[in-house]
Amino acid sequence: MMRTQWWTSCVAVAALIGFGGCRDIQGGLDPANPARGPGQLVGNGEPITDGNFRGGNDLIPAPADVTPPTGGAIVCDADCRSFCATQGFENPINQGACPSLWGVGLASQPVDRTEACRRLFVDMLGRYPSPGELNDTCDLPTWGETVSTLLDHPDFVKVQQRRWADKLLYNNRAVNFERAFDMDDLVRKTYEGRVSWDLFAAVTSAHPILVRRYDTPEDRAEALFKLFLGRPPYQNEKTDMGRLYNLWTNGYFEHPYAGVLPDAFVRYECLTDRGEIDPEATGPCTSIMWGYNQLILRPDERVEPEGEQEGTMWSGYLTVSEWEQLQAPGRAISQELAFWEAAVDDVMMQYFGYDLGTALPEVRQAMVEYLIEYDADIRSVHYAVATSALYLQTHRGGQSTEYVWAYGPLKQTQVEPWLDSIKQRTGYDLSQCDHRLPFPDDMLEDYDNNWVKAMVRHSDWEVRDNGELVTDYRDIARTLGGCPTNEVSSRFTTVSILNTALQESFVLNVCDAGFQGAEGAVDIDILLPEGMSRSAALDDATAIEILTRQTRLFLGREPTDEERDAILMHANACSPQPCDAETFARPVCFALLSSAEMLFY
Amino acid sequence: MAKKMKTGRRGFLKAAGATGAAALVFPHIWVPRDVKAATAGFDSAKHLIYVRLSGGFRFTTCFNGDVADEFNPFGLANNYAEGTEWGPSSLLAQDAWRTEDISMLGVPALTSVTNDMAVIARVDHEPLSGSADGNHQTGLERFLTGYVNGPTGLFTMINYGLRDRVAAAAAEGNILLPAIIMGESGMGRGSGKYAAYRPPMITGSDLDRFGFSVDDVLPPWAREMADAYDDRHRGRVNLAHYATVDAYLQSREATKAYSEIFRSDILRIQNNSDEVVDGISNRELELVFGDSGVGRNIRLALRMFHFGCPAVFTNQGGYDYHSDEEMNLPDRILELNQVIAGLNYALKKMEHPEGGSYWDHTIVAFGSEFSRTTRGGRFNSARGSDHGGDYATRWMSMPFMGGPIAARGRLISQTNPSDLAPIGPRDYSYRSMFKSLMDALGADHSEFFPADDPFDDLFV
Repeated sequence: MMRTQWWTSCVAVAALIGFGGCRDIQGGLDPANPARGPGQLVGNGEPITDGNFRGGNDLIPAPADVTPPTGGAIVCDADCRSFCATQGFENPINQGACPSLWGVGLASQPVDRTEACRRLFVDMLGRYPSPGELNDTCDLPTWGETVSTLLDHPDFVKVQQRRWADKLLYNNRAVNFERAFDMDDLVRKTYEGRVSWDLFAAVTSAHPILVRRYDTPEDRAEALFKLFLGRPPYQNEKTDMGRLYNLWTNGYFEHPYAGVLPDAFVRYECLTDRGEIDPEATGPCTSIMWGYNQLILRPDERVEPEGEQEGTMWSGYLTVSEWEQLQAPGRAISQELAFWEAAVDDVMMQYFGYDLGTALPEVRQAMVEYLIEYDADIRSVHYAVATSALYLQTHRGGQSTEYVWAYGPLKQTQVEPWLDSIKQRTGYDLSQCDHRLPFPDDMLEDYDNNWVKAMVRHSDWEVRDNGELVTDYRDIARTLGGCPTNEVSSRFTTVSILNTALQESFVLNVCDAGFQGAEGAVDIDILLPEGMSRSAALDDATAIEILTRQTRLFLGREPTDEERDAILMHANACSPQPCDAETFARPVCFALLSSAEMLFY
Repeated sequence: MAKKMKTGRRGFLKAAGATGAAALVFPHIWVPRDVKAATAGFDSAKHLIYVRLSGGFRFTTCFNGDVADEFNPFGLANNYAEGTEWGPSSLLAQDAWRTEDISMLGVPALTSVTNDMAVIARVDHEPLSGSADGNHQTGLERFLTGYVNGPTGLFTMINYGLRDRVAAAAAEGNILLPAIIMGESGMGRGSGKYAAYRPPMITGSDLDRFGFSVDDVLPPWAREMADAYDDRHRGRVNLAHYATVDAYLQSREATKAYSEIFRSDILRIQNNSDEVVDGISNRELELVFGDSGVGRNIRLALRMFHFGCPAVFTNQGGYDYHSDEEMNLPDRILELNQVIAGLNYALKKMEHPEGGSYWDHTIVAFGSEFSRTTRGGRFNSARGSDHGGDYATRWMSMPFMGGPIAARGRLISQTNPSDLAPIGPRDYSYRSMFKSLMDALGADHSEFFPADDPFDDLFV
C-alpha cells in the first residue's frame, strides 16, 4: 500500500474529528470508545502485508570446524564468510549473526520446546502458556507457524499497547484521556500490520499525547528523538527540529462531559499582524536539516476569539491536511537510517534483553533491510526475532562465554505477566489495570455525571455497582513496579526486599500454603490431579502425581528426575503427619509459584 | 499501658541474617568515613517527612500569604499564633476536619501553631534561569531528582548518604529500615553505584499484606522445598545468568530477616489497636490523621520511624486546579491542614526510643513541582490558576516544621507583596534546600549537587 493513500481514504472520519469537539459538541461522544485524535485517520484498511514473513524455518548448522574465539573481537575471515554464505539462511538475524557465531566455530545452544514456548508467550502475549497452549500452539508443524499464530493474537497487540503507554507516559492528569485512547488505537493498528512504521512515527510525532506532554518545542523534539532514534538529539538537531514543533502550545479544552482537560493547541507563528506569512520571519518555522521544511499555518474562524487561549486553536479542529503538515517531524527523522536501526534495535531489546544491534551490527543491518522489504510492517521484525536461532537458545547450562549471543536470554518477568499468569493458572480473583487511564479515581470522584462513569466502566478498570473502583490488582502491581501512573517515570522491574516479600506473601495467599483460610485462595481441585481426593493419604506416588500436575500447570514442563527425588524427601518431611494430599499440594503450589523459575524466563 | 521499646533505635531487631540483609540493601564494603558537617543543623534530625503537594501548589494561598489578591485571593487568617512572620492564609484556618473527637484529643487548630513553622519564600528550581519551569513533567523531574532527567532520586541520595550508618548498625546485628517512598518512583531513581540504595516503594495499605510472616505460617519443610527449587534453578542456568537468579535468592533470604519488622503489629496501622507504642496508639493515630490515602501514609511513616527509617516521602492533594480552584481549594486544603496540625500534635506527643519526643528529632517539609499563577487576576477565567514562567509560578514558598527547625515562625527570604518580585539577594535553590535537609539527617551529600551549597538559615 502506498504510504500516502491513507489521507484520501479517511476524509470522512477526519471531518468528524476536525469539526467536532470543543464548545460545539452536542453529542455523539461514545463513552465506550472515547478515542479522538489523528490516530483515527490512518490504518483503517487492510494490513500492509499478508503476514507471511520469510526466515521462520532455517536449519541451524553445526559450527564451522575451526577453533572458536574465547574472548575479544571476532574476525570472520574468508572461510568464515564462505561458510555463512552457503548456509542459505532466510532469517536476517541468522544471516547477520553467522559471522560472529557458527562461522567462527561457536555453537549455538538450541532450546527445548517448552522453554521456547514459555519465553515466546511472555514476550509476545504477556503471560506464560497454559498446558493446552504448550501442546497445541507450540506444537504446530513449524515454529514459524507458532510465531505467526501469536502475532495474530489480540494479546500481542495488548503487550505492545502497554509498552507504548509506558514510552509515551499516558497520564490522564497531564493529557486529555481521549488522546491516550486514540494513541492506543493507533498502536493497535500498527501492530496489526495496518500502519507502516514510518507512518506510525509520523502520526505519533504530532500526536497530542506526545506534544501536550512537553512544554517547549525543543523538549518535544528531544522526546521524538528518544522515541524513534533511541538517543537524545544534538543541540543543532534539537534546535532545528524544534522549529517543526514551534506551532504547538499547551492549553485546556472543555470537554462536554469531563470538564476542563489539558490538551494540545496550535498557535500561529511567523505571520504578519494581518495573518500573512512574513517572509522576513519564517526562520523559526523552517527546518533545514532534513530537507527544506517550512511549517506555517494561517488562522481562520476556528481560532479561540477570546480568553487566555485567544489566538490559538484546539487541535481537535485540525483538518487532515493540517495534521499532515504537522507530522513533518516524524517524516523527517524516518529519512535517517538510524530511524530504522532504532526500530529493529528496540524490538531486539524486547526479546533478547540486551543490545544485540550494537553487539552485532551485521544483524542490525540485515534486520533493517528485512523491515523495508516488508513495507515497514513492524510485525515482520518480531517474527524474525522470535524465529531466529539466537532467540531459540536455552538459558540453561551450556558453554560459558563472553559472547552474549551464544546462549539463550534470561529476563525478569514484568509485573503484569507475573500476576496475569498466576491469575490465569489458578483462577485467583483479581481485577486489572487500564494503561490508558492511570487515574480513574479522578474521573469517578471529580465528575458526577453518567458519561464519565460509563467511560470508566467501559475501560479495563473494574467498578463495583456502588461506583467503587476495584483496586486489588493495581495496589499490588504498583508496589511491584507495574501499572504505572506515569507522573514522571514509568514502570520499574527490580528485585528488592519489599518486592520479594510482597511476592511471597501474595503467593502464600493464592495457594493458602499457610492453611489460614486465605480469602479467594485457589481451589484445591486445581492443585490436585484429576480424581484425587484432598484427603488422600500422602505417599510417594501421590506426591509424584501432585508434583507432576503442578509442574505442568505452572511451569509447563515435566518434573526432572532430580525434582522427583527431592519431592519424595519433602513428602517424607511433610507435617503434621500423616499428611494428606491437600496438606502437601498447597505448599507445593507456593514453592512453584514463588520460584525463580516463575520470575525469570 | 504504654509500651516503650526496651532497646534503642539500634537494638530493635537482632536477627540471624541481619548482616546479609543489610548487605543486600546496601551491598558495599563498609569503610567508615567522616561525614562533614555543612550546616549548623548537621545531624540534628533523625527523621524527615517530605510531602509533595501534587499537581503544582499555589503556595501563596497558604504560606507567604501576605501578598496581593492576585497571589492570595483568599486573604490572611484573622488570627494566628504570635511570632508567625510568614503570613498564614485564611485557608489554613479551615478546620472542618477538626471534629469534636479530634479536638478533645488536644490536636490544635492549625492557626494556633503556625509559629512552629518556618517558611522559605523563595525556593526556586533554577535560581540562574531566566524564568520558572512551569511544565508538569520537567518541574516534577526537578522536584524528584534536582534536575530534568536527573539520574538519581533524592531519596536514593538519602539512603546513599546514610550508608555508613546502616552498615554500622548491621555490623552490630541491627537492621534499620531505609528511606521509603510512597508514590513517585522517580524519587527512587538510581543506577550504577547508587542502584543499591534505591528506596522501597510502599503505601499505607501495603504492609497489611504482611499481617504474618511467611515463615511463621509456612511449614519448615515447605520453606525448604521452596528454597530447594530455587537452588536447583540457579544451578541450571547458564553461568552468565547465575548472578541474576542469585540476586533473587539473596533477596528471599533477606526478606526473612526483614519479616520480623514487616509483621510487627505496630505497622498494622489499621488494626484499631489501643496499645500505646511510643506514646500513641494506632487507634489514636487513625483518629488524628483519618483514613485517607495520605492519612494512612503518614500513620505508617510514623510507625516506620520506630524501626529506624530515616525518611518517608508521600504525595498529598492534587492541586492542578486550572478551573474551579476558588470553589474546590478550600475543601481540598482541609486534608493538608489536618496533616500539618496532626503531625504537630502527634510528633510532640510521641516518645522517641532514643529519648525526647519525635518532634525533637523530626523535620516535616512540604514542596511541589512549582507554584501557580493567574497572570494578573485573582483567578483565571475558569476560576482556577495556571503555571507559566513568572514569579508566581517560580517561588515555592515551602514550609518546614519540627524540633530541628530553629527558625520556627520566621519568613526566610522576602518577596514584594504587590508583584512577588524578589527582595534581597538570596534565592534558595531547590537542590541546596534538599542538601540542607540531608545535612540535618547527618547524611553524606558531598557527591550531590556540587554547585548548590546547603545553608544554615533553617537551623539558626
